[in-house]
Amino acid sequence: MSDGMKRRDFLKVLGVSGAGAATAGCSTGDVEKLIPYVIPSEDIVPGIPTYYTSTCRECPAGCGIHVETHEGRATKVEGNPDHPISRGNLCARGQASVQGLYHPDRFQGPVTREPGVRDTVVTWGTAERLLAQRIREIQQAGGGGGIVFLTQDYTGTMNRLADEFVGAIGARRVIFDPWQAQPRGLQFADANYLISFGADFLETWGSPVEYSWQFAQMHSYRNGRRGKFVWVGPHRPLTGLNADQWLAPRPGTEHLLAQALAGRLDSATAAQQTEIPQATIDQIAQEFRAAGGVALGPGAAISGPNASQLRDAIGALNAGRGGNAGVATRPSGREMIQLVQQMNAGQVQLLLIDAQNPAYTLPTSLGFRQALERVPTRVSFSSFPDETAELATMLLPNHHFLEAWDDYIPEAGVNELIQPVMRPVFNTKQVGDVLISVAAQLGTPVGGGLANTYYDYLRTGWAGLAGGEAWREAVRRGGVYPAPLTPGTGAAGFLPLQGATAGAGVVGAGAATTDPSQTTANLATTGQTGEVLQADVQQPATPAGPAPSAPVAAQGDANGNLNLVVYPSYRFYDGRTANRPWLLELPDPVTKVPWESWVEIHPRTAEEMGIAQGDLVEVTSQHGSVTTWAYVYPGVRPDTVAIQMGLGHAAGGRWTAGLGVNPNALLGPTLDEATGSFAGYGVRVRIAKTDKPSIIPGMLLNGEKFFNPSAGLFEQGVRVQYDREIAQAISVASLATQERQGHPSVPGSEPIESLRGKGGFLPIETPTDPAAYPPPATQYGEYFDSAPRWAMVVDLSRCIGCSACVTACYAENNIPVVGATEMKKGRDLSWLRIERYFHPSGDDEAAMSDTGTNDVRFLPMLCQHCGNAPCEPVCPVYAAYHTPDGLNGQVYNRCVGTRYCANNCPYKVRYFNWWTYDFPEPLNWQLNPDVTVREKGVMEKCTFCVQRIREGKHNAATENRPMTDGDVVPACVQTCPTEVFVFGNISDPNSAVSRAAQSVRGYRALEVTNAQPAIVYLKKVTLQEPAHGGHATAATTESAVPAEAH
Amino acid sequence: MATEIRSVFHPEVADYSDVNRDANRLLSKPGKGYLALLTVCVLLVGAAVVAFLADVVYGLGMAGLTNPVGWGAFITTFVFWVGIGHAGTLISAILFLFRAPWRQAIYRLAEAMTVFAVITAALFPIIHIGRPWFFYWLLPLPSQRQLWPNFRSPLLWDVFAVTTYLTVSSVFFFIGLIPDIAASRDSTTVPWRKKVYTILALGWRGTDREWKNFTRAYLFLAALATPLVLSVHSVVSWDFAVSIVPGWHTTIFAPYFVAGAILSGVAMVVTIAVPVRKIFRLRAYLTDLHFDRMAKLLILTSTIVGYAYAMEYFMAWYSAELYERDVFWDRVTGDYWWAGWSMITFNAIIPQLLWFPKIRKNLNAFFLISIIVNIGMWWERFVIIVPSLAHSYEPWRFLNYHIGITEAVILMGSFGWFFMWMLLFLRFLPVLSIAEIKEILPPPLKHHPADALAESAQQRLVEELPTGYKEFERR
Repeated sequence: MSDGMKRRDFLKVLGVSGAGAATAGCSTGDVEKLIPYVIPSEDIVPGIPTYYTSTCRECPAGCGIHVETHEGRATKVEGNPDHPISRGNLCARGQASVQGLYHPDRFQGPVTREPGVRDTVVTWGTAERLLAQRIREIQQAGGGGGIVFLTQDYTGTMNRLADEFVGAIGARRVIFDPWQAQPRGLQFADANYLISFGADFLETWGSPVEYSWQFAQMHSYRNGRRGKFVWVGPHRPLTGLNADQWLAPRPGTEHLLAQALAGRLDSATAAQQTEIPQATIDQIAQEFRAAGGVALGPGAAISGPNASQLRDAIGALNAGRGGNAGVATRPSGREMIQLVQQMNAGQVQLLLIDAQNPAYTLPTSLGFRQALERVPTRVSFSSFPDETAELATMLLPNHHFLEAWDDYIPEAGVNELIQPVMRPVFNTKQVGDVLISVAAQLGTPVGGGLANTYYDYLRTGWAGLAGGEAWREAVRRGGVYPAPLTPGTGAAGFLPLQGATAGAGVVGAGAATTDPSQTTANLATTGQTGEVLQADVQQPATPAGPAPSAPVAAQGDANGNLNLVVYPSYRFYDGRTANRPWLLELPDPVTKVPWESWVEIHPRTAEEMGIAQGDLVEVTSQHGSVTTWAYVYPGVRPDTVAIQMGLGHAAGGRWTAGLGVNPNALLGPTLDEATGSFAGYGVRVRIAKTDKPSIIPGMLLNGEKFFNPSAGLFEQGVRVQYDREIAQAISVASLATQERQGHPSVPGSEPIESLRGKGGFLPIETPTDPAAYPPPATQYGEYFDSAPRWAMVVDLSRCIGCSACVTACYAENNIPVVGATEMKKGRDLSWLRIERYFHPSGDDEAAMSDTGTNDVRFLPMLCQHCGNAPCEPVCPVYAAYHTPDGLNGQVYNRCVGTRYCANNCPYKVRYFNWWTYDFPEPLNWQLNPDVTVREKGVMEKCTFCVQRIREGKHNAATENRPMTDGDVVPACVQTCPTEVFVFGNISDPNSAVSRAAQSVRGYRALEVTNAQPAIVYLKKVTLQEPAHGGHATAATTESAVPAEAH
Repeated sequence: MATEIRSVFHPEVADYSDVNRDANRLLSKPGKGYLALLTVCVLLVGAAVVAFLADVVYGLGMAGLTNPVGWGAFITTFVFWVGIGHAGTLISAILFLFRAPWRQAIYRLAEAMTVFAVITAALFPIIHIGRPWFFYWLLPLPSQRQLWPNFRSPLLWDVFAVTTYLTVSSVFFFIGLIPDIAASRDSTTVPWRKKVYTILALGWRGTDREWKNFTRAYLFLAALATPLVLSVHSVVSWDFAVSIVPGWHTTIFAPYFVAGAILSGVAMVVTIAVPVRKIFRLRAYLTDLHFDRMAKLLILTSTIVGYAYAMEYFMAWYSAELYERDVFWDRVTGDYWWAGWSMITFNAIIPQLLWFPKIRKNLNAFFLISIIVNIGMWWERFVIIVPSLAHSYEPWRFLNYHIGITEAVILMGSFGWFFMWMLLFLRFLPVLSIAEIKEILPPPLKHHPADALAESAQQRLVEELPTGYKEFERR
């Protein structure tokens, strides 16, 4: 034997070092400890998501949700299909709620602090002890009244607990939740005529998801007719843009218009006051009566000092319909003014705050912040660093609603449960638990001392509604509520609203059900008559309006010459969701401006004042001023400017703080005396261009500076279609004719056909018939006859442009947020985008005219999954390829990033990863494990949620059955509140998608390229003949803007 | 009275020894100006390397590319350099086959330029892709998983076309160099040069048999290279023409690109030849006649390019195709109007000034025009690529492109890279084709007229003969 290494030893060393090298070589990042379940949970199958039922609490609507969790982490929120409010759908705010859960800047545990000096992290035990000690001190000093609990407008159990708590410790409760009282549960899906007085019910007002669906039902085309929607208000937010007619009365005179329509005021007087032609008022009044219309309102944006008069007039319009659309709001304004006075007077020793950020939401001139600093002990339950929490001396961060047990009653009869879907991300504690614990420490336990936790307290309250065995079922269903109403069953009547928002506890409300006699009051059959309306006027219950010649007095000083509208934001509500990067990245549905605030100015006004789009302007009221970017918008009255709420936070995390402006700075603490609520409408402002240079004239980034592309307003996209006929429309009359005659010639082929007479080409006709799949010229072996052909129908007549689908896509597909600077370079990765065209022509002037917003088209644009895809043959490495089931596959691993596919895509729906994007911990917990996170240098695009297709396929295979319609629901289809999308297998003639595709309204975008897309758009249906292509400026509806109003 | 016979192309060159002397004179120790220029070039390359690494490390977001405009300065520069690489093969191969005697003095310069331009161009497809570390996936390498590149993709054709062109033009360049390197080997006194030249000369001794084989090989290679002049830029044009982007999807692209390439290549030859002639005192070899011929070539290609421009607009109008018309209208009236107009002015209008003999014969003016054409040809590629993408089918995605910092640095670096090779070439390889220039000089006679001249120096008559291949062969 030699002394050298033995063969065995050599092999051992080789094996060990080889394995070591292989292991080290395989790890791509930091080494992390992987701890498997020692005892695996029976409920958790790795790789299979678990769904929990709960309730969305991002706004007062209270949509029922399903929360998808993967291995104990919530990844996505979806609507609960059994729920009467959400109907399985959800808005963008709801979709983004997981970003609130995982926001990296959330408070991570209880803190006592001397603001600006030091923060001390404490345990919950210490924090509660300190709080109890402080309460005891105040109690012993005899100042129990000096303790104020400022709360949201709780419903259900939390309301009961809060009342009991303040009773037990001798405190006082003040409720601040200005929009909580907007009416929910209204039913107008079967209405033929709808008037909204500033109520942005597709965005924030009442119950947007529910109302969006109802609006789509009444407003979309069915059986040869379609309902009409009239918008009343000084500007057009998203809801207003969806209207067929816009009436813009002189600001402050909206109630006179409503009174005139209700027949309480003669139209001549109303016309004189409102600046709306008498003929128009008469016409609307006549139409409204004839159709038995529904009136909604008043919206928060036009609630001025005389809002109660408008509310009464709207009530009169709805008289006899089983309820009043405008319930009285809680007089939170008056209470807040009193509270501020007391705080200033030093009468408040301890303020517990569990309300929606009053330091931001209240008019700045009220001085809440300054008053708050005079309170010695300020306790915030906010889980997020907002303006109010920044001023607190003690932070007791609450759970996110996805981490907590709770209940919520958005409307009578709908008792919802909220259950935790995962362990808390941070060391937070539920407010209810803190209250119970503190009360017990003080020796005055709540709940009879029987409830140690808020969960016990909740169960006790629910004993009557769902006690014992019923509790499990209630949790599974997410509460106790009736089934959703189906359209056509007389769903146009109003449900009663009284009591729904009055804070009745679960026990008190019991298992209230809807009154069938009211829900079945069908507008179409009730047949409202003038006599009935006249009779209503004399009802003493509705207070008569004031003298019609007294419009709301302008508050402005002598120089003020423009009216200000401060309106709620679809994305940020009143500012509470402004910290969600997805929502910041989502362009506003109307202005298409992401990551910024703006002030909307009418083109004529802007021109007179020498203001161009993107100029920096200072808006000054007597209460304050803000400086923001001008957005020139024809959907606002010339004598009015509009600013959206939601941005301009001083605090709010890394993305939000310092972004945009807060229009509350312009408002005064004005009250609607009749109801005692704040009146933000009626302020007058001056605007002036500031000295700073204008940087980006929105549309085409012409003036972008070379090294400074970050500053300024960015409006995504363009306002006109440049005659491309991407978003098409057809009038009801033409549609009826076409339906009689059958499918017309290929849309958009008219010039080609005239060419054919001279020997030109005829494009390959693109039939929407399922038998035509696979289409000619696409048989390169990519299709299997036996495989499905996934396809989608997009009904533009239902699309309201809300962009919930966009956020759902971000959530499902791990799409990163790129930020404002990158968005200006078109580098957003939004696989699905909503295009918003003011005008079909190439005529910018037409789009900026007064009629420019009368035929606005919204178009969801996503990968068309072309049968003859231009992107596929140009890829040199087969990263873009065709799957046997007709998808345009994209293999991220194979992509080298030549970007040729994106260049060759006529729809520009391929997105390149310019960087490796960051998901700061714990935001990365949200990432969907079923979808690859892409790295820099790789092309990506819509996959029709291929992971869901595969999941549906596997499920069907597991259950040993063929795939059926509805097995696959992509994220956008799933969430759409108006059910715009139909998805399925178009080679199956019985599938919903192939039936929908055969509509005479069907067309494909950019058919001239012969890409044979799998997406069939159904034309928008307008009441009047739309301006089709060309440079015709004929508007579909009458303009409401007075020609020279200011 | 003696009559001295001179070539009409090189009247100032007396005999073969002049050529040897002048060609080898350049292969000497460089001066300060040369070194300074070389340093600038190397620094530019260094900056470009840093910029490229930034692109790799941080991502292509460092460039100014946007979503609709996925190709910007990188691809523009790629096409620009491929185009530059055209004149060399045209001059050396095609003019060789046509036996144009004015080719002899400039073809070496042009050919070197070709090789270096293609080397420069070949960098850009790698630089511009999102994951350059996987560029080899574009090559048809055998793979265990049998993953082949997509042979339907024009980008793959591009890979083949450019590599083929690079191979053939390098071989052609090198083969042509062999006898001259041997001549340099024999004349140099610097030891390391001698060593290098000895290796490069492949043992050339100048025997008849070697010459016989050499001329055959050269002829065949010229015949092989000739179709490449047409094919390479045709294939590059198909990168665009095969797509469906309005403004790219045009059948005239192949001839249009080839003409444009020759235009830019000839312009670049002039841009290089004018200073070289002045600095290296090569008046005797790069004569006015050469520049006159090149000016005529420039006029021809410029006119073809101008015709192509006009034809594009005509087709856009005649097709009645909305997207096509919008793109072409946008090129001259839209946000990139300055680029569109500078392309038309620089490439189609300004070169027409060369019709005037006065301008054509003024080397300074010609030099200026050649630079203008170079700039114009870069803009041409830019105008084809960027505004078409910025303004294609989907109106929602109309978005402009602004060059990014790394792109600008890499663009400058590509010039540094190209001129670095060019400078090295000037000092290390014979710029003049010693052997081929001798072909058009009067052959040395046993009784050299110079001998007679020496007797009566006062009386001297120079007769210039239009020597060339024909004359040479007839003799």
